[in-house]
Amino acid sequence: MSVSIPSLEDAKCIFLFGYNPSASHPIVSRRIVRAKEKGAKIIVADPRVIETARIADIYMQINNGCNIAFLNAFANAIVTENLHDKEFIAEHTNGFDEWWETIKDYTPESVQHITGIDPETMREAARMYATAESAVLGWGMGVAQQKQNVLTVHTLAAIACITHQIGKPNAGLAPVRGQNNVQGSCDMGMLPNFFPGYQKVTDPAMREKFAKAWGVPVEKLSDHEGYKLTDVGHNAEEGKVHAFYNFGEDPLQTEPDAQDLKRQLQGLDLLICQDIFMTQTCMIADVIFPGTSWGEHDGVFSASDRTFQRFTAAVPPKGECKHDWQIFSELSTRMGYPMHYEDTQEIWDEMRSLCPTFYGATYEKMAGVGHAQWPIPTIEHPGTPIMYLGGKFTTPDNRANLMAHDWEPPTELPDEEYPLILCTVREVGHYSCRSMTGNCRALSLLAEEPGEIHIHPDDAKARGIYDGELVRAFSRRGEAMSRAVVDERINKGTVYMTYQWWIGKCNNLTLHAVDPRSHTPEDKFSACQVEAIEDQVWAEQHMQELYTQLKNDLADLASAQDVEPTSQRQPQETRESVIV
Amino acid sequence: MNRFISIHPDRCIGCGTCRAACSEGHIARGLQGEPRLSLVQTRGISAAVTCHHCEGAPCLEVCPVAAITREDGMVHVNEQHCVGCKLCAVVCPFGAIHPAGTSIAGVAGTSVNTPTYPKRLDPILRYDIGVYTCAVKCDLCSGDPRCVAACPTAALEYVKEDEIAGSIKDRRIEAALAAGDVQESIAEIRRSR
Amino acid sequence: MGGSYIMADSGACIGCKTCMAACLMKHDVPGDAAVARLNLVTTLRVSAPIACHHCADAPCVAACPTGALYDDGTRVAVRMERCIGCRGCVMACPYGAVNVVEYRRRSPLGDLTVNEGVGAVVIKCDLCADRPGGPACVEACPTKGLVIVDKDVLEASVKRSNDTEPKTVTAA
Repeated sequence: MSVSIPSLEDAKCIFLFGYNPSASHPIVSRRIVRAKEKGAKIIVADPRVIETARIADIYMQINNGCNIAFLNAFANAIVTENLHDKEFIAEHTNGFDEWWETIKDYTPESVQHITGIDPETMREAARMYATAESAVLGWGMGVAQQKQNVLTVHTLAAIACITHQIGKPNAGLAPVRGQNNVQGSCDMGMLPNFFPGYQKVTDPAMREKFAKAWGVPVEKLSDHEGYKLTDVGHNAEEGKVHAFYNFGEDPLQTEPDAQDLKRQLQGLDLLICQDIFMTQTCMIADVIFPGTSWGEHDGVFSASDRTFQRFTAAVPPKGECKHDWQIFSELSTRMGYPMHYEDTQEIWDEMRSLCPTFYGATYEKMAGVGHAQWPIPTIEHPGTPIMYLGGKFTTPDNRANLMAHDWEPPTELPDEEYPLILCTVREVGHYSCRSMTGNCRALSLLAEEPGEIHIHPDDAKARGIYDGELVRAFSRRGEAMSRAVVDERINKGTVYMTYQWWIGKCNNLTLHAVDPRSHTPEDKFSACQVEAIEDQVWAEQHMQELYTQLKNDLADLASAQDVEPTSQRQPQETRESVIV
Repeated sequence: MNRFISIHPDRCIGCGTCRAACSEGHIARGLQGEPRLSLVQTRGISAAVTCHHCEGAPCLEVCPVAAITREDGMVHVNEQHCVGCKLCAVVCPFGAIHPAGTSIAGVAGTSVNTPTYPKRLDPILRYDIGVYTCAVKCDLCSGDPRCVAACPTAALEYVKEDEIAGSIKDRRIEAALAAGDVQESIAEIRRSR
Repeated sequence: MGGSYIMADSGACIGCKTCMAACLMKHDVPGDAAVARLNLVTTLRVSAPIACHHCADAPCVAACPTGALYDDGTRVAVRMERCIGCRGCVMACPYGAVNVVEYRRRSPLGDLTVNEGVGAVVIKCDLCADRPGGPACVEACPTKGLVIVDKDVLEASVKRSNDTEPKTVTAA
């Protein structure tokens, strides 16, 4: 994000678009609660009455999938009421006239049938945002996991630029990352188009630099962009990918159309999984490398707001587990490229020397509870909480390029057979694929299999579904059992499932459609149907049987790692306790 | 005077950390792990619902084995004396009593949880084979409530005698100052009579 | 809908607490609690007793789980026997006009005490609905400083303001 998370507290206006901080980032939610108590105006646009909507000054319950239509009209409302900052536009942006050519056709009235929002309310919100002394525009997966992800981000950025709600203190853009440590992964170049530090693989000068630093001929470094995670499945099926080294992910849990993906991955010649717990993906791997967890190794995390923070090990690793960087080094050495590091600082310093944006982030600066917020180009540099101050953008001419696009409906619309929209969202307690948090007793007490499907009271009544019952949710791709929560906070016609559940797996239903540029999957919109289950006791027992079976299978596979009893005998671990 | 946990709903973000902290804290002391506060979310509000430790507590009135007593401004359930009749749960107007027991799953080689009723059945009506249910209720963690400490937005407050008294006094003073502001209007009304 | 309530002219109040005494005495009957329902507050500049406003959308009524406090159409009324002493009303009232007091309850059987315990009861102004002369505090105040404010009184007051001042009054 262009702002820093602490600065959210001091923004005078916060506009959340398709982002639920209370479930995804409670600490960010806390900042917003504090901002409100300090007098900030809060605007929320979301299909559900999320926690922040309850304290919002303006809440708009938008229809699913209306993003660009809504935002174009929002921008239109700002310009038609002359609330845009003409001076800032003239001095710091390019392309306003062409941008307006698209935006001028989108009025709050003309898109009301798409957004579901009363035009006057949208205008009121536009006024509130544009005239605020400082405003932060935040978004999350509600924008990212849709067909027009990248185009929507262009639109959001343009809105901030034309209102001068960027490039000044406590104002800017706050897209929040989905996981810890996805920001770090991107910063370090775990992307098919970047080296570490966002330096392009397609740039010959960058390839030269890294080839030289790493002591390899430049031809060895790829000169074109590679595949993204969502490409792996169908590329494997088409024979373009033969091996997949899966590090710290459980795609069979988190990626859309899970059943199909399983079939595709099983067709690989080689599947390596490097993880700390046995997962469903690890179960079909050819080789498993046991890594160490966050409590067992040192490293650096990147927060969503570009802040590097160090963390240190609390306990030593167990058994055969090695640190990820040790595994990579040893594998690399065996493959003919000797790699050896003494510690993580050595790795970090090498990386720093090759990434001008991160250079000033030394281990010393990050010691204890210190931090370094990039861009931090020199050792003396204090870090950059707010980016683009003074309207200086990181484009070649330092000006922002305004880009506008037309709205397109989502890929799979509801129809008679599958009349409900399925939107997948996050649990507040459990995390992602639940390989870690599923072991935590307190969190399991708060939320357990098969997870919940939130359904509007009218939709539930029409299907004879009662609150707390197990139901069957299904789509063209597959089905899952889930527990119904009759929820008046959601919009009618849509059901919401969280993606952490192995038995209640919403990704059996989701559609593998992706944004054409970022290849992010369209998790937020697919078609499904839900039906009641007659025999509830059978359903409860069946669900427990499936869950127990899966846990036993995972434990059985993991038990191959248990070492033989020696003189230093470990207490006998039961099956349950491996997963407990 | 009673002591109890109070909630500021505008600060609640529905995260459930209070419930997790409550559960873990009690398990650590060999008590039931069922969280003693609920999280209620309607369209307009998110709030934790807790025991009010009522001064004329109906749960205490109705308990047939005197497992519920009042001491030091607090209503306390003795989990060992409770026979699991659930009358207290029925009578509490806040739904602050949570009948719970220890599951037999994991005991004596029985490692499978075998449900015999749909989960949508009200906890007051549930019965698990071999499970000894007792009334589970907020005990203010012997004076240092874990939920209050755990809440990330400081939405929970531990209200004690002097705080209530102080708060009432402040409000009356505010009201008096407001009376001062409208004094002229009131004087007019008196004169017109 | 809101009914009437009692307000003090702080210019007339001499802080003598006669209103509180009258209220206490009116409620000093079997089955009731001998506690004053209005409370004198004295600050540097203001003296006034604070009483229940009998709000149209009373937070105390909303907070009460047993219906001990309820809106009877003309005021916020009290059914003391229903109070369980949860103090939700005490927390809810923005004026501090509601309180809860404990009392020791005995169930006697001759000389034996069969049961003993603590009961609680809500203390809130009931506008002396059952008193022939109306509110005891109004009658007792030596400076006639307490006023019963109701819809008619408010309307008349607004009308007077309209007649004497340029039209700046907005709807109540």
